[in-house]
Parts: sequence; C-alpha cells; structure tokens
Amino acid sequence: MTARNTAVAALLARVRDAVRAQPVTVRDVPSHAVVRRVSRDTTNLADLFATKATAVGMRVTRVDAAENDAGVDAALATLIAKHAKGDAKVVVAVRDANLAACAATAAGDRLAPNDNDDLLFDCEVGITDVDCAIAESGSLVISTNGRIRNAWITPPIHIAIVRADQILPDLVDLFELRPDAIDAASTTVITGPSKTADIEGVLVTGVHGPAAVEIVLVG
Amino acid sequence: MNELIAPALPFDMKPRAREAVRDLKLQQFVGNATHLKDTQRGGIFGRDFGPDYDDLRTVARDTKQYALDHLDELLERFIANAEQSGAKVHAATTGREACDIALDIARAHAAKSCVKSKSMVTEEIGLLPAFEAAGIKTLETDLGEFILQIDGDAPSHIVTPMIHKDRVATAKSFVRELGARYTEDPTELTMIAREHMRGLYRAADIGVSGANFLLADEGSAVICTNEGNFDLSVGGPPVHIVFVGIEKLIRGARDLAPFLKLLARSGTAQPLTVYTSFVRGPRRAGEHGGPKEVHFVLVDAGRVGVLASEKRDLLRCIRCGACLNACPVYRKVGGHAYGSMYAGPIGAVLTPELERAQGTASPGQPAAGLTNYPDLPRASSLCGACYEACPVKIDIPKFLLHDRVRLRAQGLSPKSEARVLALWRWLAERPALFRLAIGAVRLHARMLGRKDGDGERAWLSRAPGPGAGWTQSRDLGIATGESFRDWFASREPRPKKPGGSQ
Amino acid sequence: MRVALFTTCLAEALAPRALKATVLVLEHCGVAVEMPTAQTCCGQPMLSNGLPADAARLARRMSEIFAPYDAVVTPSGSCCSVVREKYAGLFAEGSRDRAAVEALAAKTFELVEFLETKLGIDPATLRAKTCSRASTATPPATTTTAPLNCHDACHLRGIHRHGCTAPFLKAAGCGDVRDLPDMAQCCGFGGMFSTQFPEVSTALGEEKLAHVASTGASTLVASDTGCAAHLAGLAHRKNVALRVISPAEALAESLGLMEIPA
Repeated sequence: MTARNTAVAALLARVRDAVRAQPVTVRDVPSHAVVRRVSRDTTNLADLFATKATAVGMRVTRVDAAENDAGVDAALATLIAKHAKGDAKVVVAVRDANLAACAATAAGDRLAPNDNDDLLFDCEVGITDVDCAIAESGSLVISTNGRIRNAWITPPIHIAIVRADQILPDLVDLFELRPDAIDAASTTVITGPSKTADIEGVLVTGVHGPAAVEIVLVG
Repeated sequence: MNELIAPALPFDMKPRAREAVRDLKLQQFVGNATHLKDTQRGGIFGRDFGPDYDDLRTVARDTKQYALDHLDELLERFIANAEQSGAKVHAATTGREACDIALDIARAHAAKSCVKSKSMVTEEIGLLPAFEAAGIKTLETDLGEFILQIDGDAPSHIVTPMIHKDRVATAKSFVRELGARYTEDPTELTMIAREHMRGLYRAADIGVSGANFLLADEGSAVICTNEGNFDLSVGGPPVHIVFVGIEKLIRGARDLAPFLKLLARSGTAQPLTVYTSFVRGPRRAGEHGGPKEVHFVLVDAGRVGVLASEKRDLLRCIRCGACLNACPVYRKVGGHAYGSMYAGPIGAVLTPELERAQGTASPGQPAAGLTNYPDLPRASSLCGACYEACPVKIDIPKFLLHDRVRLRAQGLSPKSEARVLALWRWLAERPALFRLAIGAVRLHARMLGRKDGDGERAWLSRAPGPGAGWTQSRDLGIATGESFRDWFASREPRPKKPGGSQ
Repeated sequence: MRVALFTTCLAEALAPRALKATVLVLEHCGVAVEMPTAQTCCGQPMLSNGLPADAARLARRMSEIFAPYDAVVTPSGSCCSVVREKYAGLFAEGSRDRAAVEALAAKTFELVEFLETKLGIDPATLRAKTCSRASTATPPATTTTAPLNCHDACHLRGIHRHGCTAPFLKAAGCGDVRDLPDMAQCCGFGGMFSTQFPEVSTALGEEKLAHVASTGASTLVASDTGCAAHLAGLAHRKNVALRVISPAEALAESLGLMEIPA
C-alpha cells in the first residue's frame, strides 16, 4: 500500500466510526418529484428554451428546420460577421460532422486549426454544438467528448448550435435520460454569459468566459 | 493566513462588531447587498416554486442527510469510481496534511505557478500561504477573491467575498498592484482584471479548485461558478487538484438536481449558476485540452468529528450564503467580525464545531472550539431568519442554543449573568416573592423615573444592576399605574362558571 | 372552554395595558378569561442563555398551572413560541413532563392567532360582535386611529404567524395600517443579546425606527413585549415621538374598548 492508499483507508475507517456514532435519521432518499415544478408546462420545449435562454442573457437566432444546413450556414455567417472583426480567428468545436462542416464553411478564412488548444486564447469566436439543452433553465450542456475543451469558455464570443430535438424539459432529465452527457472528462452546463457582480453588485458580463453567448436554435 | 479570518485565539468578536457598526461604508455595502439578495431569493423561489418551495427544501434536507448518514458507503464508491476514471484520490486529516499533499504534487511537476478557483476549504486549510511559502505563485481567479488577494484583504462572505469593499478601494489597488490607469467603473475594472489574468491562465503549471458536490456514482466533482474561472483554471494547466470537504458527497447525479436548483437561487437568485462544471478525471485519449492529472484531496479538518457529533446536520450546508444575507446581525457586523472564513449564522455554529473537532486546544486546556470562539453563539438575536432561509433546513438557532449551554458548562459565559438568571428562576418558583420583585421594579421606576410621553410609563435612563446594560443605549419604560393584577381583581365578578378558578 | 391568560412576567412589569386589552378583546369575542395567579415566568431567559435545567423547572410549573384550562392565550409572541416550540426539548421523550408540556404547547396561542385560527373569527366582523360582558363601549363609527405600522416578533416565524398581525389589524379596521418596509428584519432586541451586543442591537433598532418614520406612522404595534420595550426605549432616548403598543391594544382601541390616551 502506498502512503496515499493508507491515508485514504484510514479516512474511510474514521468516517465509518463517525457515521455509526449517531443514529441514522434518513433511511431512503425521498422522491424528487417536486424538483420539476419549474417545467410543468412543457408543451413547446423550443419556445420555452428560447424564452429562458434569453432571460438569462443569451441571444437566440431561430432557424427553421426546413431550411436545413443552408439556414445554419446563413445564421452562423451573420453571427461571425457581427462578432469577428479584423483578422479575428474562429475555433470550431462541433462534434456533429454535418454541423461541423457548416461551421467551417461559415468561418471561412477565419477558421483556426482545431488541434491545438493553445490557440483558444487567440480566437475571438468559439463555435460548438451541444450534447443537449435544458428548457426550464435555458441551459446548454457541452461535454469534452469530441470537442476541444473550453472552446465555449475561452474566446470572448460563444456561438452554440442547438437542435430542437436536443432540448430536455428539465435539469432532472439531464441526469435521468442523458447520463452519457456527463460521462466525459469534463461537461459544463452553461446558463448565460460569464458574469460577475463582485464590485459593488454591479453586473458585468465577460469577466473570464464569453461576454456574449449566441444560440442558433434549429427547429 | 490573513488575521481577519484566522485571528489570534481566543477570538474576541465584540471590538470588531463595534467597529463594524460604526463603519458607515460597511453598513451601506453589506446592508444593501444582503437586503437585495435576500429579497431576490424570496422572489425567485416564489415565482418558480410557489408553495412547493418548502417541499423542495425538505427533499434537499433529507437527500443530504441521507448522504451524511451513509457517508462511509458513498465515500468508498466515490473513491473507486474516481480512480476508475483515472483521477488520484488523497485523504488529509488536517489542513496541514492537505497542503502537504498539494505541495508534493506541485514538487513532482516542478510547478512554479498556480491558478486557483474560489474555494472555501482552501481558505480554511491555508493553501495559498503554503503555496506562496514554497515559491509557487498563486493567482486567485475569482474576481472578488483576486481583488482581496492583491489588496491583502480577506473574504467576508461565502458567496460574495468582497461584499464589504467598494470600487474605490478596488481602483486604488489596481493602480498600485497592476499599474493600471485609475478608473472606478466596475466594467473597466473587471476588464483590467480579465486581461491581467488571461496570460497567467496560459502559463500556469497547476490548477486548484474546490468543489460544490462530489458524486459517488460517477466519481465526479461538480463546481459552480458565474465567471467561468473554474473552467479556465482546470482547462489550461497539466495538473488539477480539487480540494474538497468530505461532506460534499451525495449519491450521484440522480440526487444533484434539487441542490443545483436551490444553490444558485438561494445564493444569488439565479435559476442556475452560469457554469455548472463536471470533472470526471483527466483528459482522455484523443481529447484536446484539459489536465493530464486530476487529484482529489478529501479534507477532514474536523468534519469527521462533526459527523460523529450531535451537530451532524451542520454538514448539510451547501455554502449558498442565504443565511448570511438573511441575518440581521451579519448585515450589521459584516463577515470579518466572525473571525473565520465561515461568517454569519452558519459560521457561528460551524467555526467552533470544526475547531472543537480538530482538538486544537493546548494540552491541559478544555476542548477548544467554544474556548476559542466564546462570543459566536451569543452573537445572535435568535430571530430564526437563517433557518427560514436555509435551503437544506439546518436549524441554526437550535444549535446556537446548544452552544450556549456548552458555554455555561465550560464557564465561558459571564458568571454575573448566571447569578441573575438563577435568582430570577428562584423567584419565579415563589409567586408571592416574584410579584414583590415586580412591584419593587415598578416602585423604583415610580420614584426615580421621568414621567413623560404618554404618561403611562416612568422612564429610567440609568437602571441599576442587570438593567445597566440596557440603559446604555435605550431608556427603560416601566408602567407605573395600576398593576394588571389589581385591575383584574377589582373588576366586577363575571357570571360564575362551574369549577372556575379565581 | 376555559381560557387562561398567560400574562408573561415582562408584560406584567412593563406593559399591563397590553394585558388589560387582551382581556377586553377576548371578552368582546365572547370569551371569559381567567388568570391563574401562581404564574410567573415561562423560563425563556434561562432557556435562551444556556440554563436548560432552570428553564425546565419553570416549564414544569407552567404545565401544572395551566393544566386545568382548555386554552392559554398570551399577547406576547415570543413567550408563546417558547412554550410551543422549545418546551418539549427540555424533557426526555416519553417522560411525563414531556407529555405535560406537549399538552400545554398544543393549547397555547398568541392572541391574534387565537382569534383567527382557534375562534375562527373573521376580523372584518369583529366590530359587529357584541360583548358578552356588560360593556358600555360601542365601537366608534369612524376610526380616528393614527397611522400605524406592525412589527411582528421574530419568534412568530416558528409558529408560522410571522407577518399575520398587520393583515388582521387591517381587516379588523384598526385605522390606517401602513406596510412597514423590511418588516421581516429583527428589531435587534433578542433578549440578553440586547445587552451582550448593545451596539448591534441598537443599530438594528434604529434601522427599524427609521423604517417606521419612512411610512409616517406615529404608532408602532409590536407583537412582543420585549421588542416593544426595546423600540420604545430607543425612541424615548432619541426623543422620537412614537407610541409603541401591542396588537391587543390596537384592537381594543379600535373597538372602543379602551380609550386612546391623549
């Protein structure tokens, strides 16, 4: 046994004794049904998601599903043009091959090589897709599974492509229905642009992560 | 460590409380911010959960209590699953041990610089001074913590660490420490900090953070931030160390949703923090970015002792800060008055308990804890606002009362007070004498008090004995007219009821 | 139903008018009140200051003194909550004392709570009630009550009555009841806290008085004798003209059962 293992075993033993030192008061974890309260009305998840995402300070561009890739291309191109000035670079961290191609097309000359995470600090825009999204809180769920880590954090602008069929009603559903989404080295649930109110409670966005999160919502 | 949150012991709270009450800026900043957050908390829970809010708290309470009651099983499962994902798990009995583990890791990587995400437990164990002493330059990346760091200040709130500090102090420290131009604009100040830190993220050898939750089923840590500094701290450096108190364990992601929904709403009235980040081991084959090594340092530092004690409930705390925002005393004295990184109501009960459990008293001394923090249990009006605000329903007033009993038992509360209370009780068991005593008080007031105002009362501006403390800052109004009992007895007898007394 | 008045020692010493008002209001509602003379102190000061054994002795006394009654009513919110919430914890589960104080807890009420929940009185109908006891008083047709605020004792939180007094007084027609900003914040009394941390206690009291002043109220209704003494004492020290009364007095005055002092 290494010293590390010995220390861990010793901690376990002490915790075991400590647990026994007091009576067990809760034998079963209670039902979490009440936790869903926020998302009881889930008739139109795309609308709910768009509303909630906007409420937490993200911007949503809706693309009709019928427009397909052309619609996504156009939306991305508009957003890139809006945010990337001068020789600004765009990093694409999109797992879905089809959407990745759209993003690469839209980025054009600005596309940064996607095999070097050091470049992230030099990029102005990060484009990602998502593992899923959550309607009740307007959240994006993005894992490192098949994506350059932090492409959604480091550049000042984050553009996320969300398909309507990826939207789950509630945070609870993420853990019940999509355990794979958190089975990556890292997963981040994003609910708004980076913000702080540390200085006198004044809200400032973009303190470390992106100041703006643009969502392209397809369908 | 900073003397503000790690003061000389035994700690005397009263001078700091007095000073804080006189500090008009502190009154304004802390008062406004806490009131605002407290109101917004009520608003968002009302809007999103309505009458179900209390049920949600009950669910969270029982879910976390279950975890504590089965912490040994959960811990075992967490360790197995985390190691399975390639993380290394360490255990530290004391804060010093936790720092030493980190120093060993840093040494193995010849680390010279560290980026650190906000974490209460690292404050508790004194990681930053330990790293600095070992020549590892450490950057606090949370904006508030960063400003406190460069200004030699200390956090005074669990969630909003620089609640006591204003933009002017920030501006001055940025000019002095960063060579920035003078600006008081919060956005500009924030951007100065951002630019300063981005280069340091890139160059750091090691990343450090705490964790809000540990998931036993997944072997993952969950970290909640609004700024995104955690993701940057963990994403760049080749090594990441998560320091985490063992009480952060829950069964797994299946139990996480109630806590995430409560944490951000309770702390900052957001539906979720902007970033809820899951760490499940080091980077995997074929992945771009992320640490090649992830270490979890499981910290005891008194927690095992609390787990074994009748104050196990305290370990349910998810560090949302709602009790601080709701507490009338915290609002007036601010965080530094509590002499600990855990301020406010939860700090008042947790600080002595962690201290006691670590048994840091000198040999021959009674158990530490309250000996070192004798004022904390008394620094409360027992108004119950903390209990009402707590998302996991920790009955803080109950534990404050519990500690007041201990204070007495250990001879740590004033003897004069105990004598007065004992006399009071003795009289109260002798109704005739008790009435005489009340009569004497009324007579005293009639003879020496000023009769003004509504004429009902006589006012004392300097009361004798136990009343002296009262009249330091207020008058004592005592009704001097007919006593209630005389009035009641003098009334016409009401229709007799069978068996009626009197 | 035999109803006993739980006078509380603080009210007997500092606020006898609140007790008189309680009796008058209860009688107005058709409830004859008895007053067990042996009652003294409920033990809250000992309980709150680390002397549970002393508190237990007084709790036991209380349970014996009030044993013959069906309900126990008090104008003091804090003392009420001690009986309701804290007594049981002083005795071992299953003990006779525990059963006795639990029985007491089950029948002890703060006045407004008693009227509203136990008697089920709609406050709007209070003025129309006729007194069971001979009383020449008739409710004034129009109220002349000065603008007032309500500050509820924090301990009413524990019995889920925090914030209930103002709506009741409003509905009962107690004149110009104005919302007190930040009512939820403690007034800073806190029993011995008021002398252990006098600066903090005073600062909180002054904030409360400032909130009252901001509404233009000249009367403050405080649902606990301690809070009332603290706030009235502060106002008096600072020469602030503020009348501090109990909910019972506010009701009694508005129902014409008591004269409003000049």
